Amino acid sequence: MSNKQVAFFFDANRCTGCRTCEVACKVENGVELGPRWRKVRTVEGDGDGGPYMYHVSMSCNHCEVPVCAEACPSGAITKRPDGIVIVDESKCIGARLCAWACPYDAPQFSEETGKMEKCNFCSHRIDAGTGGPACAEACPTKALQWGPLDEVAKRAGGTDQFGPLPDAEITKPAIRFIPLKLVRA
Amino acid sequence: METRDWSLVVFTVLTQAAVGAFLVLQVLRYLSDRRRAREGMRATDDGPGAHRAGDAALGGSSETGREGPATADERYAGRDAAVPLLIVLVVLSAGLFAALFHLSTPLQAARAVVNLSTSWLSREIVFGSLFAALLGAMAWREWRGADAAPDSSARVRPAPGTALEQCAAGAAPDGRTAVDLAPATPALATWLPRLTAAAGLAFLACQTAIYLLPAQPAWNSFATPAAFGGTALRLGILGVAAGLVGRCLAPGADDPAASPAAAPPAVLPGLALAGILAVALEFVVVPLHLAALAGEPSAAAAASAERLTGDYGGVLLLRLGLLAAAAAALGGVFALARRPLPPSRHRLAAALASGALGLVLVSEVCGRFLFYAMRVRVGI
Repeated sequence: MSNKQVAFFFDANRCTGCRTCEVACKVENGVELGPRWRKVRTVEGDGDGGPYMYHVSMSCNHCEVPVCAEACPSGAITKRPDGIVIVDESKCIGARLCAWACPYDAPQFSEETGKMEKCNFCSHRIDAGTGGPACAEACPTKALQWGPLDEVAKRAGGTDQFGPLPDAEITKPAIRFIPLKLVRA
Repeated sequence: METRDWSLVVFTVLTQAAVGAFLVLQVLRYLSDRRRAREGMRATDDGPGAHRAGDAALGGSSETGREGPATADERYAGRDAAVPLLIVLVVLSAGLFAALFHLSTPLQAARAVVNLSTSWLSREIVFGSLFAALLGAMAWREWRGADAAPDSSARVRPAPGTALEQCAAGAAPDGRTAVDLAPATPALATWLPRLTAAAGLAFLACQTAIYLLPAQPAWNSFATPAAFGGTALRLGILGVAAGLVGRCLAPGADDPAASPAAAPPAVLPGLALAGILAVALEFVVVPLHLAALAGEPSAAAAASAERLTGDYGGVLLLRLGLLAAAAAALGGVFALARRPLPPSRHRLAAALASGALGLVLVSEVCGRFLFYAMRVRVGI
């Protein structure tokens, strides 16, 4: 297992809102109906340059400061050496404090199991060396990608803070975004 | 608000009431001790029938270190002294039990203390359990003290004042109280209440810290400690006031032979006044919180404010209305208690005090519902 923090990379200019990433996540991890480890949200508004709309695909950002793990009373959430934040459902008591603490709505409560669950960065694929997160690998436009944080952070135009996202200082998320560039004729 | 969160409404309101009541009992006991010291009260009667409920009703210790068999009256006094602590313990235990229902797997509740290094919830459970254990130890000492052997050097005398004054000062309904009872283990008698109070305060602090989450702007403000501390203060003061006045209705409390004097009770007007101030605090906190939310740049804060004043505006008005009615009832208690009160008016004073407690309790439940209902996360 690598000791380098892994991260997502998302380009809002490429995302068409097709939700292939959501479907790939569900299928790969067998997530039941209800919890959504990855969500594609649509942001609409009316700015100085006129109306705008874009999509944001987001899951757990495997933050450098995982406030979910800090808040969890039962020690069910831990951060691996490669930065992946995972939930050990056998230790989860369903207090759901992680869901309150996370600014990205990543921890999801399963009514079926009574436990919290969330994106695990497809760690089973990474550990087996068979690939990366299914969501990123399924993205048809390469709007969603992944890699080591130090490499992802070097990509031009990337930021951890844009639009309606929470203050990145709260958790220092392991994700970089390229915000929508408004181009008008 | 999710249905499961109602267990947290019950949990927080009851446990805060317990912490508040315990602290108020300790403050009253401290004031009572100081007053006695100032007045240089010394016991003169070694009579075996004396009650020791005075100190104990205010949370004091009944360790006496006396020798010989206890009388029936002494056993009664010690057990009477343990009652306030036991009531607080029952309220606290009911609150802690209610918290289990917020967990999806209550049978694994013991795991809630695993992450003490970072989780405020773990710390909350540890200090809550410690508070309950120390409270139980205090109550047990009182109860056990009832069966303790009497010390021939124990000096007791009848308490002065009216029945209501005696009750308010913590005396037994028949007007007798004990003073100058030397504890067998002074260090424990001194430190046990202090440790219990510290555990209660730490419990309240941890409970507050859980909700100071940057992801939840409506919680991450001064309003959370103000809400939790305010609940403890209001229910603590009113619970003790209602309990003290209620004790005056005990058989024998209005026996003129046992209470010949006609001086006003010392502590009840002060409690009523403190209750009014604690109630008034909420009328300051609510507008300040709404103003703080309006000043926040996040859409989440605006959405929380909208819930408070729009969707649940009726509940907020009901909460404030109930508090105003409670303040009026407390004003009645204050007016009654600051003058010599004939035993025939005790029932009215008790009705007003317990009515105020009921109104505030319902109001606190409304307030806590609003607390959980106004939660809106930052971001998208």
